[in-house]
Amino acid sequence: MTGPINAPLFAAVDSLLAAGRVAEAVEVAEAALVEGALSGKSAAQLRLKLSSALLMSGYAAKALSQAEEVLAGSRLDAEVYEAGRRACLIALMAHDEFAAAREPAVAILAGTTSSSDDGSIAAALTTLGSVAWTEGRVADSIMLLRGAVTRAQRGRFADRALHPRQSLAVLLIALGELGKAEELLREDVRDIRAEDDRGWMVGVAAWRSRLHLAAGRIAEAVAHAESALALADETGTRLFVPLARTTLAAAALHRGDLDPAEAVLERCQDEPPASRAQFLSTYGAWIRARISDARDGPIVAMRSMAAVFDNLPANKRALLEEPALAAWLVRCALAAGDRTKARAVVDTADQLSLSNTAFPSVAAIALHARGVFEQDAAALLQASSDHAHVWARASAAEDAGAVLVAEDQPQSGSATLESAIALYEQAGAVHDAERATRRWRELRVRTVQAAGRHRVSGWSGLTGPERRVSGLVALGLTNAQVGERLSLSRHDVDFQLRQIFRKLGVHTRVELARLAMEHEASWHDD
Amino acid sequence: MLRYDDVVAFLIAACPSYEGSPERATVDDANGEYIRVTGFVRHLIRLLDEQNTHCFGQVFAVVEWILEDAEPAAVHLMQAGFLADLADSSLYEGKRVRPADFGRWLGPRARRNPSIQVILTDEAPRRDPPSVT
Repeated sequence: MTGPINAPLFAAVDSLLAAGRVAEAVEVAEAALVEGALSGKSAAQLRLKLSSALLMSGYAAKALSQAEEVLAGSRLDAEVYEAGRRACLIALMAHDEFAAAREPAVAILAGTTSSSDDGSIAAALTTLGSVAWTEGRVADSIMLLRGAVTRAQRGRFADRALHPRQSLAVLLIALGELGKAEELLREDVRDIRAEDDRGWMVGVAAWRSRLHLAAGRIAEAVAHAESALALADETGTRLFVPLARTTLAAAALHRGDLDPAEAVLERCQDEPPASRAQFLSTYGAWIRARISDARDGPIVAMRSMAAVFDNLPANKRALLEEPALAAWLVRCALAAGDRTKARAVVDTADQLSLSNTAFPSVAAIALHARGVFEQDAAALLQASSDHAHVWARASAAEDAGAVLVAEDQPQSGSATLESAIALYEQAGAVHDAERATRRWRELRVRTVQAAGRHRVSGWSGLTGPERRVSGLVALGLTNAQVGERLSLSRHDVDFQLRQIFRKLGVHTRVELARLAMEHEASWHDD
Repeated sequence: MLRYDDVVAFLIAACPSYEGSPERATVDDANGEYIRVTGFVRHLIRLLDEQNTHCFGQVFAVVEWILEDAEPAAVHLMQAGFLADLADSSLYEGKRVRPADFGRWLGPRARRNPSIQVILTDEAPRRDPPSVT
């Protein structure tokens, strides 16, 4: 650890990075390391700089190798060692290597007591927070990332490649806490300006684009995504380019511009492997699938999502960050005639909901998926009310409207579809508004035609769980006994009974029992 | 945090005339909280029809409070029970009032409920859906 620090070389690399000529900075640094112009601490510091530059260029795997090379060196001083550990963690996270990142992050938290290690602790907390989010543990993730934000504020460390505020903002956007997310991004901008590290402004612009899309402000979403791309070109920071492009594609899809949406997605192929590759792969596949659905129908669309259906647990983050995705998958699988796959999505969404009972917006994801699967209008209306994102609320309202009309409630069904259309229009989602309008018109026509025909027995309109509950109530069991028998909460039994009474047009348990007997008799007669 | 079991008790506290009313007499508590809430909503509809609305301010303040601060099952009871019933035109048969007439008492959280959004749009002239291109 004796090599002299090569000040002119470092200055040259810094100047190139500041000018946005990241590729050249990487080239100069790599050449110096290959030539052996530096040794010991100087070489390690240059590798760390190179790791950071590679990361911002979108090459997380290469950034990781440089950081690992630093840690493999002998007799490292404490400062370089800590910086190396941080660089490793950040590169692992950017590379979606969460399983590999967990152990070193835990080791940092277990072994570090000195207050001078705030940067490493912040990196470890950010890593574990991201791991928790990927696993669908929302409260844990928020707690860990809040800790990371506090530690990162306290620490002053040379490499600023850690922005836990941006990671926390992602969660808050997913949960619909848009004001708090914007506040975090504003605070991050203050730090970025203080550090004069404009590359991270690309991240802020890309996340703001996602934030506006979640709020249904498509024009603003597009403006921020374009600003992110312009700044990425200016600074040579490619890390967030796929995210910005995918958001642009989603905005184009909402507006019904299918060809431009597809073209924008194609351009993502030219980019280096991005951070959040798993999420972006799923998100991009979903946009492609929706384009296919619009052009060729659900069976072709389902093929685009085969990888997601086959590995649902690995896609919990995508289900959280795109609240309407689970319901869309269920709808698509049902339309393609695959109830097994639809059921698997409902179960995954239920697991997410059960693990996060304090978050109504997560419960809405599961309610929406289950509502589509069981054609349960009440669940869908509830999901529409609790969804975090405007477009998801519109989507649930559209599903609820369709179910209500199918249940012979044309007035409320038609009105709910109209509210879905209004929400889509409010969000600038012209394509979706048009689809919902077509659905509204078709259902209106069908309802008018059906009005003159004999009404289907109310019994056949009951869902599976409703039939089980009504059967037990008809046998004379109390709500509490029904709950025990079917492992349902009191609330669930109460709610099912309300639905049963409404669908069958009865007001008492005696009427229900009589109807059940009549139904059984007619079934035997048949 | 307000519990599911307490919802109806709080609603009745805000509108004590429900106890002893004809609507209360038709409700069997054994059928659960959702059916009890329906009975309560029927009572409110009759009061509105009779222009006897002095308790509505308190009732809808309780509704907002539950939507904001109650456990999830209680919020669901409000959303999929109380507010859905309030928006259900079949409960207004034979009355001169309609769901939208409750609009002036609804707080911001209640107004976010999709069924309520539908009845509130009834307040304004209905617009045609956009044309399909």
